[in-house]
Amino acid sequence: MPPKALWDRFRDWLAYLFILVIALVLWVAGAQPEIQVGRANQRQIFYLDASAAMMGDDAFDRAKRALIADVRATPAEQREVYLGDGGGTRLLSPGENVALLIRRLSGVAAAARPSEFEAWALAHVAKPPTALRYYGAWAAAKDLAARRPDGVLLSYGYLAPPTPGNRGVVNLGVTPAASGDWTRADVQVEAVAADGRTIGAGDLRFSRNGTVLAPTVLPLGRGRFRLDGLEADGRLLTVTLKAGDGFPADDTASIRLPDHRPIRVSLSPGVPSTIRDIVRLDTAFQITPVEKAEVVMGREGESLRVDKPAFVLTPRQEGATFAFTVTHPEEEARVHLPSGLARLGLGEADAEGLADRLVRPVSVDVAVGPRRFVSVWSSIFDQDADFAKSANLPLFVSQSLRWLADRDPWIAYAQAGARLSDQSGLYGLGEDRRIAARALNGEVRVGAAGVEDFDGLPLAVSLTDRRQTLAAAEPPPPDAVRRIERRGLPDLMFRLLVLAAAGLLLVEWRAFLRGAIT
Amino acid sequence: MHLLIRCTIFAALIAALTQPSLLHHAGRPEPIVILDQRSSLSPSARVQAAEAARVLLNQTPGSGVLIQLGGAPLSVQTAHRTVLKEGADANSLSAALAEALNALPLGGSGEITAITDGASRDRHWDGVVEALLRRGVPVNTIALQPAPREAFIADVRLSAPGAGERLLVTVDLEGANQALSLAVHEGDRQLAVSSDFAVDGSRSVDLAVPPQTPGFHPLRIELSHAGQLADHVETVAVIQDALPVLYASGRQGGGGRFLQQLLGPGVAVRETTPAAVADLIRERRYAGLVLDDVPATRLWPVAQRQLMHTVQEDGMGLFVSGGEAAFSSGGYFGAPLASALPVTIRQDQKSEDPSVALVVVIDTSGSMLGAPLDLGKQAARLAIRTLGPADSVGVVEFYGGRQWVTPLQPARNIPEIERAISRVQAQGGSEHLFDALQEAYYGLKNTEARYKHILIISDAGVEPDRYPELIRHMAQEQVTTSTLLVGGDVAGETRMAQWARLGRGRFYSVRDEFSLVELNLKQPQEKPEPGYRRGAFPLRTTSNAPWWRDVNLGGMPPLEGYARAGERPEAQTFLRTSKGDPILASWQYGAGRVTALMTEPVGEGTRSWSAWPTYGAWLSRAVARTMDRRPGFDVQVIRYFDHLVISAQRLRATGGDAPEIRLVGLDGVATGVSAEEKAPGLFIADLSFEPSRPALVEVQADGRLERVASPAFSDIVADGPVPQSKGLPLAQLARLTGGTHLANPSEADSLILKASGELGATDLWSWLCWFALALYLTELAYRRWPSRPAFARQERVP
Repeated sequence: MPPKALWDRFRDWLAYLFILVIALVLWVAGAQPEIQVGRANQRQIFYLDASAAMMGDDAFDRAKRALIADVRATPAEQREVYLGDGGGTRLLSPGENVALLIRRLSGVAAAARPSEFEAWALAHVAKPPTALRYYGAWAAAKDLAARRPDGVLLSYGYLAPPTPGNRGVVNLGVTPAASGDWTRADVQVEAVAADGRTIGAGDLRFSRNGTVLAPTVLPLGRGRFRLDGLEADGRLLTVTLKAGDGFPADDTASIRLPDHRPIRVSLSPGVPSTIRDIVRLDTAFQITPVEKAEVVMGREGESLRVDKPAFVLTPRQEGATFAFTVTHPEEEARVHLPSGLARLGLGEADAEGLADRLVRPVSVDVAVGPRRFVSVWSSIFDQDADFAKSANLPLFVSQSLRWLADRDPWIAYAQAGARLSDQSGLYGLGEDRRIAARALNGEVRVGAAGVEDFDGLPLAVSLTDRRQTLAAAEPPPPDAVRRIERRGLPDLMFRLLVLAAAGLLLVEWRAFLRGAIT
Repeated sequence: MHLLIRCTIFAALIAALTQPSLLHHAGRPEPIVILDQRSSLSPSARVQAAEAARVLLNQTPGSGVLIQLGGAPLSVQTAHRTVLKEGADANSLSAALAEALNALPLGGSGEITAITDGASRDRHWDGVVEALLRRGVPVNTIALQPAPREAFIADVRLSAPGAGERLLVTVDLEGANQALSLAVHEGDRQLAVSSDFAVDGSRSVDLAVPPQTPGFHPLRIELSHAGQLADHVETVAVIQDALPVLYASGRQGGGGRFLQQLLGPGVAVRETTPAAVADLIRERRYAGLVLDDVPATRLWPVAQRQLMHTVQEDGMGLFVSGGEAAFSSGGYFGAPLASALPVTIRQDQKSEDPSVALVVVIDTSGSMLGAPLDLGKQAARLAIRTLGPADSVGVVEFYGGRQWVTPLQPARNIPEIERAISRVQAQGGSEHLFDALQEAYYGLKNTEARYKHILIISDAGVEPDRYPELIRHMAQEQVTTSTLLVGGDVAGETRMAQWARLGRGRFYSVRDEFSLVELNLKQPQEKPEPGYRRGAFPLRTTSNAPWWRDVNLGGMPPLEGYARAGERPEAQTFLRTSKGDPILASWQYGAGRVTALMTEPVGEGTRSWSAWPTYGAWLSRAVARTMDRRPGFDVQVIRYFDHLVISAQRLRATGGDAPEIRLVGLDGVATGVSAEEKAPGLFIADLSFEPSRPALVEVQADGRLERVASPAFSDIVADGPVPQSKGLPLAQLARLTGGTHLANPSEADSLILKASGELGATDLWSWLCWFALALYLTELAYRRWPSRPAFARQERVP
């Protein structure tokens, strides 16, 4: 055979055919053809639940693998993937490469917070028809399944195995001690078992900052226990079920007792005896020299430390409007003082009595200054003043000093995923500034169990979800999990074309080597 | 070479079969912008906002996400756009922030910029803020100025009074307008109306609604401008039940009913007996106790101490009143309860000379002749000199017989009686003392006197007789006997001493005039002075007492009776007699308050007060100020769209039974709600609830009821203008999330958006296939290349 020429026409029709077919197959394979069978426009939403229900063993990893496999089997333009991390975070948008899903899921783990699947689904899945595929725990999906919202086709890609006989701590809260001692707190714990068994005090272990604690536990019945008069020293109180189980997220709960160690107060010589006695007798305060004091009290004109929060008695000035002035730094959220005097511990009678004495209405002014400051007309505290004989006087003095000291707030409980209950306004002068700053004129919602920081205030958050604990033992219906229907042949076509191309290339190569083609 | 190319082709195809993808960073900022174009903004603000959004989005034309609130779609190139139409959705900044966050996939490190005035129809941004912080997404904020608006009602705050108390309605207004007025309606009734006022910016207006019956009261607050309705709000007022007060009376039968009429609807009086007080206050369901004219004998010390403990520790109020059976007259001097009273119990004593009836039985027998009789007559004269006109005296002599020297008569003419005694002479004969004693006894028996006494003056030389029996009998009949021996012997002394002892009197022995002693048969006694005084006692009040600032005390009648007591310096004394005796005093006793009213509120002392028109108001104020008006629970109701959270924190003591929490329907039917105790005394109920329904909540515990109401849609602004006071604080949001806050949209170009960490993915399958195709074509060309003779020789297979 004569040597070939590049531009000569093919004389070997078989070689020509091979070239054409191979080129065509490679070209088509590169175009990634897909054959869609069935409804091509149905929106397919995948929801991977990363709540506490998925914290058992390797449930979350299994769910991830099932999710990825199902997502791959779904045409890219139809699929949306979300992560149930409390906010329904988007994992994959329609048309996005599944490699992004894999990348975004790397390092993601379930967190100890309640599932928000039902609420999310009802809020977001509003455009029927929608196929919603859930990967999580039956406890989180059963309510939505029971509601059967219109236009939503709910299916399950993975359901975590139940934990029969699950037990967990479902409540852990703290309030000021019933004894009235501000430096102490009462704590209440509740633990339940899904199978109805009673949990006794011996089933619980208490620790404080990691050190085992042996407090006096008062059983209240039905798995509830109270610990009275614990020292409110800012340490972390943890209660743990001694015997763990397959669902560990609810076996431990922690709460940080507020730091209410005695407030160091310095009293200048000008402080009247009515106030001096109150501070001396209240266990919440400790009279110290001014150098060690957190709060200073004195009269205007005395040499007071200007760099510390202060309670100052001022002479009544003609023309001055406000008998009480509360000053706070500009960066603090506004102290929510009601227009009345109730938060200053002044009842209506006292306010009226004061007004009579001062011959003017009594009201409170809130001002901005470099630090916290309370100023009051000194004549209010005169021995013969009605206010000096009122029960509200100690209340006013103590609440003012505590506010000035800016101690920890009374957080009754901190439940994962729930609204934060700040009772500072109930037991003190107003809301805590750090909580208020986070609230942004609304409420505060905490995240998953763990430690959250509020501008330097560490908050211990626990799962403590009764519904979650009881539902963790519920088994899903049999055969609830179904494999996704693979209506399309997206990747198969590509693979077949590539394999075909490879096969043709092999045959062609073989034929060429044998000289059958040129 | 041929082989190499072919192997490379196969390698590319094998790699393509693994379907690899290449991840890469976008490398440029992809802004996510929330643009506020709502009609609540002024046209100029909307234009400024739109321009700021363009500046940000044009940093990366064709990419970025725009979420627009209201208005016409902005003409700018974006990768993704969402327009929330004017109305409910557009007015929710929380929904816009959630939408913006949703545009960021997990792992994306973009930032959100919100150009808005912060007004939002709801304040439920807690969830999205938590997500922003958790994911570390900063939010930049650019503040817009809201457009001037007509005055509207921004918020309504209501007090929670008890029955009989007025309701305070505070209306917060925003906007600007003049000639405005507010009115409060319940159904067709207008309850309160304000005078005309003006608003420029914001202001609060207070309206006082007269006392209403306990329960839930739907109200309608209307804002009118120049007589035309400008805005209105539907709300629900809560009137708590009357204060439960226990009333125990010792003397005032049916006093509870009268007291209830006086005190009015603000107090619910339950009458009981003093014996039942201890058990009833242990139930801790009463705000206080009125103890009216209850003597100490009907309230044992144990019960008094328990009462004091309840006041001191639990804060229960105690109102103590009364007259003849209360305070000192009631025997409380030194009683435990006395130390808890704001007055000091006075136990005044008075010296009293009791009336005496004396009969001197003098021996005038022969043995008394001479000095003994003289001594006897002297002693007799001494004895009767101590008597007064209120006393009675008689003299009997005995000798062989007996006779009255002077008959028993009032001792008004002592000298005459003394002269009669002086005329007595010794006479012979046997001595019949027994008959004389009997004579004296029968004379005294019919005499009215505090003390009845016989003085026997003798030398003891008398006939034996049954003297001991007679004297003992007389003593039992309260006729005492003293003896005075003049002269005599040891046996006589023994005998007469025995008579004195049996007669519960005294024995005197007089031997000569120098041993005469003054016989003081009249001993003044100290007796408790009656604590209750009757008469007409005008009163003086403490000027401007705060308890009655708005109660007209003019025309206060005098008291007709009151119990005397001392004033405590530590207590507040509001009312005194003209002579300074306290009538009404009060003080703090531990956690509770104790008030003392030194007369019967529904009895003799205030009989004329029933005609005083202000009496009821005055008394109810005093009682109400004394009682424990603190609620048992602090109840909060929080709405979150279609969820309701009821929080009830016990305020008094922990460890009690769980409260019963109920939701009351518009038809008045109550449905129980289950709550969890999340902390000691803190009960939380979380349930689904329609936003269009007002939430009427009752919390019942320890026999007391607390009511709280949350009007429909209280957590959102269903329609109308959105108050700025409920807006999202933009600067704080930026600070909290680590973003930047700009006060002016014109500064938008100063925002340099950082490069997004957004990932992209490129499938390499196609490229590998085409690479394989290119290699194949290259191999083809290589095969057909003309100048390869060596290749031609090598490729041919033999």
